[in-house]
Amino acid sequence: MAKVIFKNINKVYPGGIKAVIDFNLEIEDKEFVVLVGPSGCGKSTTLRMVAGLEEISSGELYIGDKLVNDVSPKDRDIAMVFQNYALYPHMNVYDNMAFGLKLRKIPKSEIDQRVKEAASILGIENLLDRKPKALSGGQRQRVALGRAIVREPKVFLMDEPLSNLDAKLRVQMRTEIAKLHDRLKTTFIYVTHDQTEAMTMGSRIVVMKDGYINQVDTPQNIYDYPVNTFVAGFIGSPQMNFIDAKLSKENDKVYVSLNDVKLLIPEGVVKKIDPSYLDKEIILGIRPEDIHDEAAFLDYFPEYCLNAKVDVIELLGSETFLYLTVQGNSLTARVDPRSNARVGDTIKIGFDMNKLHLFDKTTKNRILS
Amino acid sequence: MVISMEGLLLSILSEINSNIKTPFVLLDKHGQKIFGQDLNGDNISEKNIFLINKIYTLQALLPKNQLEDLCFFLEITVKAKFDRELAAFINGKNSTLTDFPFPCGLALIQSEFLAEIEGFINTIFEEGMTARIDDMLLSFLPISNLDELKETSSALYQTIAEEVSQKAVISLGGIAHSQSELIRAFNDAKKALIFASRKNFGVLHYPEMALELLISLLPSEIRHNYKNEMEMNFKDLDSDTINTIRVFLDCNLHIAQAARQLYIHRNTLIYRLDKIYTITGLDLRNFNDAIKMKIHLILNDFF
Repeated sequence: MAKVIFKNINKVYPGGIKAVIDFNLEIEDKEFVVLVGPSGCGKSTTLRMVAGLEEISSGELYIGDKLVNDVSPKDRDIAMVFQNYALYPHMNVYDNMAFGLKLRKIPKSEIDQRVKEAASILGIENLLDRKPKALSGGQRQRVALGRAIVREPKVFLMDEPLSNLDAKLRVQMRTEIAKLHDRLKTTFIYVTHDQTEAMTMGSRIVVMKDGYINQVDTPQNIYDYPVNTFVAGFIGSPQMNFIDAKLSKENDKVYVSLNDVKLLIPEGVVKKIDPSYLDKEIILGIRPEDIHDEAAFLDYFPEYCLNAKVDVIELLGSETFLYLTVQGNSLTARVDPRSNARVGDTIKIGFDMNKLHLFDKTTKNRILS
Repeated sequence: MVISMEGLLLSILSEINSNIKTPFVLLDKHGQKIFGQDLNGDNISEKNIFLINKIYTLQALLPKNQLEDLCFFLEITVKAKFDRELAAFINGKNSTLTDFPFPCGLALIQSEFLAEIEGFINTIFEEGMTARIDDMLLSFLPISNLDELKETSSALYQTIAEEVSQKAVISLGGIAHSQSELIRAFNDAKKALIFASRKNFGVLHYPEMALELLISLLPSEIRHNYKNEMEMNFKDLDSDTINTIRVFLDCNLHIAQAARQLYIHRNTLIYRLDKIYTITGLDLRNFNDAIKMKIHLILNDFF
């Protein structure tokens, strides 16, 4: 169990390609931190620097109180689980889990105890005699996790460990890894491209893009208060809708204009807006679930309503997605499955203006304090 | 003269025994004596010893610490002589070995940490053998199936990366059933290692590197000119796009598979491929254009 501290970490590959730029982060002992971002954002490189599989170009990396920049992987007291964890085909599950300990000259009795304990945690006691070729994808991944658990590391590093599994198994393993973290009470650093994994597993999420950290916060704060349009668009599915708009003030009330339509901004939100943005063009962000078509909302908030043309309807059973055109913009709304909307109709919809997101048109940064 | 592996071990031990004063006995794992005269006395000590590819028990009339020294001396002396014999065998020179354990999978390993890696292999494969020749570690693994050799090598590379350093290369020679096949496998694996010294770490497999090998045979001036010619079109590609290209080529131009591996929607991949076409004039969905791109990447990676 240990803290992991990144101080001004940079990774520059030969040829000058910058993979990670000025990465600063303090991961608390026993925390579950998820690094998330699109491919090429530097998340795996960051993890591999913690593992000692990539050299750090500059900056300082601490595990516990120890500076580990020049410490070899085996002396860092970490264990890593990869997406494609190769198992030795000639060894059974027991030996695949045990051999790392054998290399470290751990006594046989202790190896036996640790392997059996890990197998029990992962529910694979009945597989210990099997060879890898007799295992399913999910079982193989459990063995890879078991290999990491028996090492009793200070820090677990996981690089897209569920990406090779089918959708159903991925959901199941997601819960199991979260439970594993609760049970082992060890620091977890988890890399994924999947924002759902990030939201459901991490106690904090680090959103990365182009080698930079964009935002570090709890899943809920990242979702509710994204710092820029990239984070706002990356976290959440379907993604947040963005519309070019303009802020204006009339009779002490502040409105956001989308071409011909003006929507009233509630006072609580107005207080958070920097007045210098009045009469300026901005980007309005609204999440699909904050767009309503139910009569109760439309009747109660007429000043938040506007017309929309229904292009496509996707019925998912528990919810319905409406793909709409509003003032020349394409929007997605997540509405109740009992919605009466029909393709081709022009319907009335309402934005929940208390859940509005506003971004600077040039910097794309959040402008609500 | 021909000799078995155990015969070779016994002849090496006889030679050593004639040069040292301390008598010793070697027992196999069943407790059967395979070398030495019976020892008399109450203070016989014993210790496990790893010779060639097996664990034996060494007994001698020595205090424990001196027995450890004797073990160490025997291990390194036998190893050095055995490595010489194996080098002759694998280079097709006159070798006395008759019962080499065929079939076996051959893997050549290059790393700064060969001693540690040799230790791992001896722990992981009970019947595996290793030998040092020049700056390489030869690993003869008890494997008769190429897929299994590839999977084992991937697992071994992961172990090496986790335990010592990821700066290691494993070059696979394939499966050998005879001395002549072993010699071919050794030479193939050595040829693939030419590419390892550039910037590649990981597992290399000679039969999958035909294009690289053909390009390496071209005069360097031709390679240089061709590279410069192509770079005119490729200088504007960023690292993300290059990665997209690599994954798309590795997936045999399969859009859905590449999109899955890149974690992007297939339409995003199609958009990127269109962008690459605009920049480079190469449509990677077209086999001939994909080959040109592959040559460009090989020239950049290795030359």
